[in-house]
Parts: sequence; C-alpha cells; structure tokens
Amino acid sequence: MPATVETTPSSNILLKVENLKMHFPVFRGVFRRRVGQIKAVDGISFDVIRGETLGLVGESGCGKSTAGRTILQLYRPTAGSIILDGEDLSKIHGKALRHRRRKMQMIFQDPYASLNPRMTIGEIVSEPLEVHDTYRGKEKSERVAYLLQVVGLNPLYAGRYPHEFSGGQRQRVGIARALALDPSFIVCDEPISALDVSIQAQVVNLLEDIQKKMGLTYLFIAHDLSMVRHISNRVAVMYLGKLMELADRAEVYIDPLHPYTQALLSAIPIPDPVLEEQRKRVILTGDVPSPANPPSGCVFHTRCMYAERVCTDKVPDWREAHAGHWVACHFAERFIKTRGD
Amino acid sequence: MKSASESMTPLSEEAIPLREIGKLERFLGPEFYRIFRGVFTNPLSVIGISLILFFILVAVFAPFIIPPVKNADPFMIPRDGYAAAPLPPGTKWLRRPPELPFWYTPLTGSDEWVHIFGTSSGAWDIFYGLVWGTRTAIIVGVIIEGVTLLIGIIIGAVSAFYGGWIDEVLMRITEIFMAFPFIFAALTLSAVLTPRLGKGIWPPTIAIIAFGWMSYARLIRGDILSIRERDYIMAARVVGVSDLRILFKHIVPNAIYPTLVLASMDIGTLVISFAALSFLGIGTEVGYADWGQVISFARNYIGVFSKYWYIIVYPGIVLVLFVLGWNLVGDALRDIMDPKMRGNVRR
Repeated sequence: MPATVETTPSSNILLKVENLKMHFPVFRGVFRRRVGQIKAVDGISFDVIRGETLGLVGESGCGKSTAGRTILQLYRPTAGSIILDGEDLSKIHGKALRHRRRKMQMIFQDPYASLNPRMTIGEIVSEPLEVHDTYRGKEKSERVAYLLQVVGLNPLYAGRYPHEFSGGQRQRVGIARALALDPSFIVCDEPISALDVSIQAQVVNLLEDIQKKMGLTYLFIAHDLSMVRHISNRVAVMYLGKLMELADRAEVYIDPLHPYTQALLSAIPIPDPVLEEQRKRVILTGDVPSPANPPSGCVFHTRCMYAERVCTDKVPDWREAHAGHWVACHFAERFIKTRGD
Repeated sequence: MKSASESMTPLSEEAIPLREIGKLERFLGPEFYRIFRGVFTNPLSVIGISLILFFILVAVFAPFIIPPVKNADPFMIPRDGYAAAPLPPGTKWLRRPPELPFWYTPLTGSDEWVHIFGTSSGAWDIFYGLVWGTRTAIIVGVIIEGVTLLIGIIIGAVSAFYGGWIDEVLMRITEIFMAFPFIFAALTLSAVLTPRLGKGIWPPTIAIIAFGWMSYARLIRGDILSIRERDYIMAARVVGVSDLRILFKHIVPNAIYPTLVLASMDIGTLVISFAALSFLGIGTEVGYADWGQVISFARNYIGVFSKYWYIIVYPGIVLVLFVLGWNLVGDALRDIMDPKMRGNVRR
C-alpha cells in the first residue's frame, strides 16, 4: 500500500526542522586549542506532522539521540532552525525557553539512570508541576495520582523510591513525568531498548494508548527496525549525522530508495526458517567513518556497493524523489525504476 | 542465569519477596537509611561512635567532672605551684585546688583533691587539661571542619557547575594551596596571624582552615562533574527546572556523600594538627586547656620516660582514642558508600 502523504497543509505541521547542525568542538592540549569538531548532526531537515509518530533509525553513533536532544534544546544547535508550533526554539533562551518546555518532553532510554535515586516517584512526577506552578496543594497530588494511574502504576506507590521498582515500572514513571505538563510533542529516545523483551511490548502499547488518548506526537528514536515499523507512521533513516531517507513506513520497508536503507532492512531476520534461508543480505563492509572527519561527497560512499565517481565529489541533495518520499542519493531514481511502477 | 533444576520450581516460589520498608527508612530516604543502618550495625563503627559519644559527654559535662577554680578562666589549666619536675598521679593538690565535684568523695572516700593523672612540668594538672581540652578539641574540630567543608563545597561546586575558565582558575588556585606542605604552611600563617589576633584558638584555626579545604573542593568537583552528565539531570532540564534548583536539588544531594565521609575522617586529623601547632607553641597561650598544650608541657621530660611516663601517656591515649573514633566512623561510612558493598548492606 504505497499510500503517499499528499503535501500537508502547514497548519498540520507541528515541528519543522530545517538544516539542523550540531557540531561539538574538540579541544586538546594545555591551552585547550580547538583542534576540530564532531559533526554529530550535520544538516538535517524534516517535518513532524501533528499526531503522527516519526521513527528515527540508524546505527549507534549516527547522531539520532543528539538530533532528539538538540530539537529539545538540551544542546544549543550550531546552525539551523527548529520551529515548534510556529516558534523557532533555537532563538529563545532562559526563562522563555523553560516555559516552552511544557509543550515538549522526552522519554529516556535508561530507566535506571533517568530517575533521581534520592527522590520518591511522587516527587519526580510532581517536579514539573512545581516548576511550572501549574498545580498546587491537593490538586497537585491528585494530578500525580492520575498520572500514575494513566501509566499503569498504583498511585499508592507515590511515596516509594525508584530502587523499589523494576525496569519497566521505572520507565512508566519516566513516561508519567513526561506527561505531567500535557505536552504535545514527545521525543522518545530509545524508550524500550534497555528493557526486557517481555516488557518492551507492554511499554510500546502504553505509548500507543496514551498517544491516542492525549493526541500526542512522537519522535521515536530507535535502532530496532521491527519495533519502529510497528509504532511509526513515517520513518527517517540517519547515517553519520545526515538523513538518508524519509518516507511512509510502508514505502521505507517495502521500497527503500537508498542503498543504506536497503542494507539495514536486509539485516532484519525473518521469523520463518524457509524464507530466512532465501533472504538475501546486503553485507556492508568496513566501519562507520568518524564523524570528526566524515567522507567527502555522500557520507555513505565508502561503504556503498553502488558508489560511483560522483558520490565522492558531490553531496547528494535531500530531495523528494516522489511524493512524500525523501531521499539523499544520486541514484535514487534508478531504484524507483527497478521497482517498475 | 538460572540452572535447569531451578527453573522447574514455580515462578511464585522463585520470586524474591518484596522487602517491607519501615517508617524510619521512609523518613530518612533510601540512602540515608542505608548509611544509618550501616553505621549502627558495623561493629567497628559502633566502637567509633561510642568513642565520639564519650568525648562529647566529657566535653559537655566538663564542669561536673572537674569544676574550674573559683574566679578563674575555666579554659586555663590550674597549676599547683611552679615546680619544674612533674608530679606523679595521686599527688595531693596543695595550692588553690578546684572545687570538689559531686562524684569525688563518694568514689574515693576522701575530701582532698589529688592530681589524678599527675602534673606536667610546671605543675600543670594533666587531668584538668585533658577534660577541658576535650571541649576545645570538639569546638575547634567542629568549627574547622564545618568551615573547611563549606569553603570546599562552594569552590568545588562553582568550579564544576560553571566549568570553562572559572573551573580552570579555581582548580589552579586549589593546586597552589595543595603545593604547600600542610603543617609548615599552617605554622607560618598561624605565626603571622598571632600578633594580629592575639594568642588563642583563632590563629591556628584560621591557618588550618586556609590550608585544609582543597581536598573537599577537588572531591566534590569530581563527583559533581560525573553526576552532571546523568540522565536524570537531563530529565530535569527537559522538564524546565532552573539551573540553581538542578544544582541544589539534584546534583549536590547526589554528589555530597563521599565528601561527607572524607570530612568525618578528617575531624580527628584536624584536632591533631591543632594540637601540633599548640605543641610547637604557636596558637593558644601557655596554660590553655588544649591537648597539644598538655603534651607540650612534657617536652623537657620526654627523655625520662620510665619515670615521668604519665605526662605523655595520658594525653597520648586521649588523642589516639579521639582520632581513632572518627577514623572508625569514617572507614565504616566509606565501606557503606562503596558501590560494591551496596547489595550487602541493603539487605
């Protein structure tokens, strides 16, 4: 089902990221001279549509977490703009920015590290309410009880400390904290990869439930391709700080246009021994190059089986190969043709 | 990994029962409770705590243990004449003895003061010096420790939190202070301060503070630097918590424990340094009730140890016990804080 997204009206766009760059300087020596920079995120552009889940996948170290954190202004971007609800977040600072945090929240990867061990979960969940002074006194404790209930925890647990909970329960606390301020946009930074497989499904279902209930928009960062396929409406693929491909879930998984995406998808095992045996794998050779010194031209050319001269010389444009299907490859059209539609 | 035979047992039996959490633990919070529990269950730290408690009681009840001589400064050790040679324990007190405390007659059946631990060279009463010296030791220990800790924490926290050139400058200053040999630096500063502030506890106190805060600053800086990168700090920032609240609500409470352990171990050492300065004649005036003074009276007679042992053994024992007490508690705290010990202590 190649259901292409028609050009969406701008009012439907919740978040617009344009040419976002996050370069971390590298200092060395006695005088802390700046000797270079890590280009963790190097010019990515995409829109997030209200109410959707945009999956962001890539290998570890490709900059997907950095992208999520930069969007939330946890790192101030080197360049580019992040427009949430018509307002450029990279231009506001201090108190004004803290105020905007009510609209955007984050769920963290490691539920053991993301909760302050010296605070009860009641304190953890009510901290956002206190900081923004949205609820007070009895209302506040009622709100905390409600939030705990929403994420499937007994409100009586509010007086307990994080170490009294399991990983899945802690992740629920983290979700409750993110929901406390009624945000419209949540960055889920690999929210399930630190959990037991048996718990992963529960947490994903919870995330889907509250998305429906509260009309949330997710940026779902992950490296588990099958999980992303399950939860996302659209999927973006990242490699070495750049976006390689962005399209509808079905498009990406069935008709990938970028060689990197094709390689990634060919690595997903098929739960059927007969099919699994016939599965053709695209084996990538070599390692991911260092983001401190990325290759010239297309950053993927060092490992790409289709690479030609132009790939080393020219950075491919980030363009819409066909409606709603964005890709950064010089030969993307070639793959459309082979599909023969 | 569970072995095959174990996995045969039903799940419910295999599960670890949920630990019941008492009122005290809920009140103190998990970390404090663990420390609290650890300190009171570890036999060595119980000995340490008893020793410290004993010294605190002696300091508090000093006027009842040995009341001061009438119309005299209670912090000045009374002397029984001016004889150069020490007098052995049990010698009768001839000149201006202190009032008899309530326990003396019932316990000894006599109503005449004797020099319980003897007198030191110059006829200073050793017992009085040690009992009232406990007060000095605890006052000085608490003041020095409190102020050094505060300075260290502020400098370390500012350094770690702001980073950049502020961190660089503060840490280089810290290293300059560390480069001085402690006792010489303290001695010099104390000697410089004495003519300005007069003899008393202040010159050595200030000198020890001035050269004692560096280890705390460095330690807390390191811990804050590591806590600062934790996910829950980032989570607080996402939620919109202000920098100041992050520092004092999230970072410092998580970073401060190792520094507190170090501080508890250092109190004993600080009192020794203070006594050392007193012994060297810098700081308190001659005759001030302070352990270092009591030992310094013995200076000329240390050579005749077999005859005058009491002038050095009694104050020595007191100092050793005091330092031992704090060290035992500090050691126990360090063990409890050790992440590898976590599991053992918690259950």
